[in-house]
Amino acid sequence: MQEFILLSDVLGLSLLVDSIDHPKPENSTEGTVLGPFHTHEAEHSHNGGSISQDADGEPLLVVCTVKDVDGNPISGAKVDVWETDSKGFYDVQHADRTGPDGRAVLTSDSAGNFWFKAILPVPYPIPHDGPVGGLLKKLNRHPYRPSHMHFMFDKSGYDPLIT
Amino acid sequence: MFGVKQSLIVEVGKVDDQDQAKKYGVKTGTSLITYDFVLVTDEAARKLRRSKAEEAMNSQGRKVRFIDDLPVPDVD
Repeated sequence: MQEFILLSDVLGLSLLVDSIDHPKPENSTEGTVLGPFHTHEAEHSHNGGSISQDADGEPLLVVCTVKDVDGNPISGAKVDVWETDSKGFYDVQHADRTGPDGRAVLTSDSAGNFWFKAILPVPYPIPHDGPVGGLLKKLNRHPYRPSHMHFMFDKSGYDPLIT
Repeated sequence: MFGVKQSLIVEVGKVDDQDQAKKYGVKTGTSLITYDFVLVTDEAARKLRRSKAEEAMNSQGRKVRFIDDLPVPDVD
């Protein structure tokens, strides 16, 4: 499963399908890949809460708004956020994992704001010990993704956004 | 890799004013990322999907009908 997602991602197929299925008008936020590390067990957090328990990470404050294309705030949007730890691994990649970490589900407030504490994302390689890693090697491509954080928005009446 | 989109790249800043640090309960100097997300309504996304599909079919010279917004070859 993980290899298949990665293969689709490295070939650009995931983003091609996303761009057809979820076309974005010019003034809206672009989507990108979901990746293989989203889970459905992140805890609901209040605005201002901390999503990471990694003491080695550099503290980070994230302050965002969510609006419609006319600039009106969207309240009550469910915002799923996830990131790696300071070593570039998601919680699910640790064999001794005890529960969710580096992920949370937030809700935008009445002014469309949401904010949380996290750690500064680090660059990391995708798992490259399988067939996709072999393919990248043959193509002389490196397996690193730039430092990033995932956001997934869900609000009734709006096209889902994963970015 | 994975098709990085320029519009999604953010500069990391710092929390540099006391009021902001107090408001969010962090120390000044903490790294800060801000971003304004813009969502599209289901209706607008559906219309855009349809118009792009029509454009793609026209550019290939295909004669199609749309059934539930899906292009189906018009054979009659």
